[in-house]
Amino acid sequence: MGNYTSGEGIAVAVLTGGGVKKPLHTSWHPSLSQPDGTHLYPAEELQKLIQSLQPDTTILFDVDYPVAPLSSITLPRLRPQQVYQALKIELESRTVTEVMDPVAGFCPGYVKTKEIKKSGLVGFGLAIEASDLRGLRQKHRSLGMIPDLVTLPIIPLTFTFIREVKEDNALLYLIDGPVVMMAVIGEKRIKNIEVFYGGEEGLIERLSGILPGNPELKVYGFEAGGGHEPTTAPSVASAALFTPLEGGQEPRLLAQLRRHISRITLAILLARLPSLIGSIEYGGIHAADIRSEEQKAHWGLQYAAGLLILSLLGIGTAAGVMGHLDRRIYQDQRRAMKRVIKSVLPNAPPVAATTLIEAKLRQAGRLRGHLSPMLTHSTLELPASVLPILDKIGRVRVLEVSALPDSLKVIFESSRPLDAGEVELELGKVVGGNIELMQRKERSAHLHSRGLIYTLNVVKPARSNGVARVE
Amino acid sequence: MSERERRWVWSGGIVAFCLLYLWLVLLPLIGYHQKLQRRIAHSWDGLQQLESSLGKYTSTVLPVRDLIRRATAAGRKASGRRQLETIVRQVWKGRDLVPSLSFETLWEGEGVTLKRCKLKGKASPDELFSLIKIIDHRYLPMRVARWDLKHTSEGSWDLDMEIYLLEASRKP
Repeated sequence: MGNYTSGEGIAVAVLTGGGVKKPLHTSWHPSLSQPDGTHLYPAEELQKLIQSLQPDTTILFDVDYPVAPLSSITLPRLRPQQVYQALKIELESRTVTEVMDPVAGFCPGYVKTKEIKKSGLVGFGLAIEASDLRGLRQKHRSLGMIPDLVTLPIIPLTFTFIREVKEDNALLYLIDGPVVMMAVIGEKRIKNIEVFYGGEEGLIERLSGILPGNPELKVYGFEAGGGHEPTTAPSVASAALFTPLEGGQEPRLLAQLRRHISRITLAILLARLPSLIGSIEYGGIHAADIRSEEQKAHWGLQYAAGLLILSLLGIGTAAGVMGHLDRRIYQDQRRAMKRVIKSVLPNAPPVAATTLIEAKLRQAGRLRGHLSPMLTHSTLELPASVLPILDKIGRVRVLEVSALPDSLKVIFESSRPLDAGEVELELGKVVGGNIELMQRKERSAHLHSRGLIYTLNVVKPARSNGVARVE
Repeated sequence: MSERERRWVWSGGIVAFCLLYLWLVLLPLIGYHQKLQRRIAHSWDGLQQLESSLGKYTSTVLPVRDLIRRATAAGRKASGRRQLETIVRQVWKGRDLVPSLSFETLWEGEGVTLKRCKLKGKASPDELFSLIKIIDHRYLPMRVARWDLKHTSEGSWDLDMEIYLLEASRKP
C-alpha cells in the first residue's frame, strides 16, 4: 500500500503481489482545511482502509508536507517485520525538514536497532548536513532507530525510470509545491539526488548549473498534482510517463515543459517501491527477503509437520506390516502344530493333543515298566566285540562267559602272562566302559587248566532303553 | 480468515490429525502387534512342549506298541512257548540232549502276558549264538535276558539262559 500525502489530500494505492499488476485499489482522500491554515486528514476513512488490508501488506507512507498527527490511525496487527518495513519507508521518505519534525505519534517505538541497520537504501548519495544528521539521530535514539538516509518521492519515480526506460544520462525532476526533487541517472544508477526549496525558479537555477556540462543529458520533468486528484487518471505506463522534454539545453524551457503526474500515480509507484528497491544491483534488500525469512520459518514448520506426519505414517505402516507378519507367523505355527499332531495322532483334536499325548505317555510308561526286560539291548553285543579281541591276543582259551545286556564276564586261560593294562587299553578302544582284567590267585575250578587264569569284567555305561535288535 | 488464523487452523488440524491417528491407528496397531507377539511366544512354548512330548511319545510308546504288535502277530500263529520250543528243537536238531525249558509267568497285563523261560542244557558256542540270533530277531516277541556258558572238564559246554517272551492272549 502506498500513501502519497500532500496538502490537498492523501492518494492511496493498494497493490497485490510484487506490484507489477494492476492496482487493486486507488483512492483520493482530500484534506480538511483548518481555520489556522493547517490540514487534517480523513483519519477514519484511512483507518477503515488500513484495517481492511491483509496483515502482510507493506504500508509505505510518503509525507512531503507537515501534516496533522495521524494518531487516530492504528495499524492492524502486523508482525514486527512489517511494522519495521512501514516505519523505515515512512521515515526515509520524508524530506530533510520533515524528518526533523516527524510525526512521532505514528512510531510505536519498539523497533530494534539491529533491524534498522538492515536498511537497504544506504549509499544513494543524498546530501544531508552533518548537524542535521546528528540531530536526526539524537531525536530517534530514544526510539532505537538510526535513520542513515532520507528517501524521497523521487526515488520510486527514478527506480521506475531505470527499470522501465533503461536509459543512461538522464535527469529527472519532480516539483511538488515549493519542494523540488531532482535525480541524475548514469550507468543505470542514481548518481545524485538533490532536494531543495524554491519551486520553478529554484529548478531553473539548478538546471543552469548542470546542463551546460552535459549536452547528452535528457531531461524528464514532472509536477505532482495538477488540479483535483480524482479527475486525474492514474497513469503508470512508462511510455506515457517517461517522455523526454523537447527543450534542448534551455533550463527555463525545460522547467516550464514539465508534465503533470497525479499523486495517485506517485502513490502507485511508491507502493511498488519494495519490489523496485529489491534489485540487488541497486544495493537494496529485496522486499521478498524479509518475507522469505518468514517463509523459511514457515516452510521449516511445514517441513517439520510433514516430517512428523510422514514418520507417523511410516511407523503406522511398519506396525501394520509387523502385525501382518506376526499373524502369518502365528498361523504358520498353528499349522505346524496341527501337522505334527496329525502325523502322530491322526484322530486327536489339536486343542487336546498335548493332554492326550501326556495321558498316553503315562499309560505307556506303566506298560513299559513291566516290559522293560523285553526292551534291553542284545546280550550278543558285548561278546561280539570282546571275544574276537581276546582271540587276537593268542594262546587264549575261554572257559566261561556270562553275558547280560550291559555287562560281560569272561574267564579265560592264557598260556603266557598278560599285561593287564595293555589288554584293558586294547579293549577300551573298541568297547569302552569299565574294563577290568584280573589274574586269579586261587586255584582255578577248572582243574584241567594248567595255564594262567584271568577274569575279564566289562561293564558298559547304562544306555537309553531303546530297541537294538540283532538282525 | 487471516493468515494467523489460518496458521492456527493448520497447526490445530495437524495436531488433531496426529492425535486421531495415534488413537485410531497407531495405538491399536501397536496393541495388536504386542498381542500377537504374546500369542506367538505362547504358541512357541506350546510347540516346544508338544515337540518334547512327541519325542518322549516316540521313544517310549512306539517300542512298546511295536512289541505288542509283534506279540499279537506272532500269537496268531502259535503261542510264544510253542514257538520257543520249536526254535530250540530246530537249533538242537539231530542231537540227543535237548535243553530243558521251564516257564513262569512274571506279569499279566491287559491282553498280554510276560513270561520268563529258563533254559538249561549242553550247548556249543555256535549253537548258543544261533539261538540268540533267532530269539532276538525283530519279528519275534522274545528277548534273551542273560546267559552263562561254562566249559566243563568233559570238554562240553553248560548253558544257562534266561529268555523273556511276551504272549498276547488269543482272541476267540
